[in-house]
Amino acid sequence: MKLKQFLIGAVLAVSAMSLLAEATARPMGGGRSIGRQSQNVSRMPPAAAPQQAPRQAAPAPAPAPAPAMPPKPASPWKGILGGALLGLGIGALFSHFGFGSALSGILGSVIMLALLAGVVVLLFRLFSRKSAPVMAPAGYSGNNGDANNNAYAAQPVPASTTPEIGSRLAEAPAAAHTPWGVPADFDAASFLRVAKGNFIRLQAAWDKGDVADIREFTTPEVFAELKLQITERGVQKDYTDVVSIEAELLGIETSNNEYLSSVKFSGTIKPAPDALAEPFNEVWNLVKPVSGNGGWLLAGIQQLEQHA
Amino acid sequence: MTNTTHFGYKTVAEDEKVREVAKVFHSVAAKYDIMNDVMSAGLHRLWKTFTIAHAGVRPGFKCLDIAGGTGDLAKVFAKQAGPTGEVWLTDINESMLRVGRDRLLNRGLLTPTLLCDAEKLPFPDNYFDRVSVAFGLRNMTHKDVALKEMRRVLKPGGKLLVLEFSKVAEPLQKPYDLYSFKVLPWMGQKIAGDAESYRYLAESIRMHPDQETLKTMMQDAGLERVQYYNLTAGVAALHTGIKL
Repeated sequence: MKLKQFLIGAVLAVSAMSLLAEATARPMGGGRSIGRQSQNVSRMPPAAAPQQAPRQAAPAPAPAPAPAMPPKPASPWKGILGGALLGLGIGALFSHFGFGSALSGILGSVIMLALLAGVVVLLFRLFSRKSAPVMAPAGYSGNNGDANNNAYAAQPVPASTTPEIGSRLAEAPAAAHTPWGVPADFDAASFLRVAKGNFIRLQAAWDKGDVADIREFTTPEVFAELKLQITERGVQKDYTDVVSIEAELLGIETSNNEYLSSVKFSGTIKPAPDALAEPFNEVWNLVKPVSGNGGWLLAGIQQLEQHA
Repeated sequence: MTNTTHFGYKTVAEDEKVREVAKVFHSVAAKYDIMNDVMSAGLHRLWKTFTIAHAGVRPGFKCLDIAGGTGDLAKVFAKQAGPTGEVWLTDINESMLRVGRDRLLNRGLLTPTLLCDAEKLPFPDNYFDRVSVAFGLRNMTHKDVALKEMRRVLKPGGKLLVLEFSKVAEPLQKPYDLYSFKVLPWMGQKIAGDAESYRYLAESIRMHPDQETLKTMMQDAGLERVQYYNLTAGVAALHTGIKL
C-alpha cells in the first residue's frame, strides 16, 4: 500500500517536473503572440494540416496529388481521368464481390491497371516536382497571384477593421494556401531563405540574450518586449536548437506606408541539448517601409490556433 | 596553352574539362542525393559516416568542406563544431551549392557557403583544423595543385580527409565493371533522365588514381602520416594526412 502510494506520488512528481521543463523551454518570444498581428492570418482556417484538409472537389476519391499543387491549371484532365479510372475500379470491385460474374477477371485487371496508372502518375509527379527548383510560392504568384494582387491593390485591406465575414469566405477555400497580395515579381524563394536564416539567427541571439543582435532585426516594439522577457529570465540562458525548419509565405499586406508580410515557420526544435525535438508552428509578421531602403524587421509573432 | 587532361575516357583541353564537369553536376544536382542512394545502395552514407568519425571534429573547430555539394559532411561538422566553431561549405558548382545551402538552412544551420575553386582557395594559410573533400578530388583538373592548396590552408596539426572512389579489389573487378558501365548509365537514364553524366561518373572513377598513387600524391603535396582505409572492398577509400 505504502509502496503503491509512493509510486503514484513519484510518477506524479516526475510528470509535473517534465511539464515544468517543457514550460520553461520555449522559442523566442516565449511561445506567445507579441507585437503586430495580421488579420489575414487570424482569419485563416485553423487547419492543422492545411495541405490536405480543404477543398476536395468533384473527384473526391482521387488520391493526394491533385490538392497538393493547386497552381497548375493544366491538370484538370488528369484529375478527371484519375477519378473516372478510380470510379471504374470501385464499380468493378462491387460487381466483383456482388455477382462474381465471368467478367470479374477482366475487372480485376482493370483495377490493377488503374492502380498502376495511379502509381506511375504519382511517381512521375514526384520526380518532376523534385526536379523543378523548390520554389512553390513563386509559382503560386506567377499563376494566380496576379488577379489577387490587382484586386487587393484596388481595395487595400485596412488592418484594423473587423473583417466582413462573407467577403473573404467566397475565396477562403482556395485562399487556404494561396498567398494574399504577393506581387507577381516578388522573389519569394530568396525572401523565405533569408527569413529562415534570420529565424535561426534570432533564436541563437535569444538563447544567448544577445540584445544587440535582436535589435538589428526587430521593430522597437518587439525589441522592447523581447528585452523585457530576457531581463525577466535573468542570467539563465535559454536553449533552442532548430532541428528542422520550413518557411511559407502566407501573404503580404500593404498598409500605413508599410508592407506587412506574414511568414509561417514550422519544423522542430530541441528545447534542451538532450531533449527530443518538438514541433513548432508560428507566424512571424515582418514589416518593411514602402519607400526608402529599410530592410524587413520582425514586427510581431503570431501563434496559430492549435487544432492538432 | 593547350594542355590536355582526361574527362572520363575522353581527352579534352583543360578548360573544357572544367566546363564539362560543371555541366555534369548542373545536370544531376537536383537528383544527386536520390541517385547516390540508389546507385550505392545507401553505402555512400556509411562511407561518409566513417569519414566523419575519422575527422573527429570537436567544438570550436574550423572546418572546410571542399566540393561539399549537398552538404552531407558540412551538416554534421557544423553540429559538432557548435556555435564556437566555423564550418565552410564550398563547391565549385553553383547548382550543387544551392542545394546544399538550402538543405543546411532547413536543418537550422547557418554556415558560410562559398562558391570557390579548390585549386585557388580564398583562405589564409594555417586557418583550418580539418579540410575534407568527399567525392570531389576526382573531378579536379589539377589534383596536385588542389592538394597543395588544401595543405596550405590547414593549421599545423590539422588533418586532411579525402573520401573518393578507388580501385576495387581484384575478385570484384568484373561485376563492378559490369555494374558501373551497364547498370549505372541505365539507372541514370531512368531516374535522372541523363545517362551521359553517369557514364562520365563511371569513367572518371576508372581514371582516378588508385589507393597507393593517391597516397603518394598526398605525400608529394607535403602531407605527413598519410594512410588510407579501403571501404567496401576498395569501391571507395578514405585517405587521411596531417600537416606537420
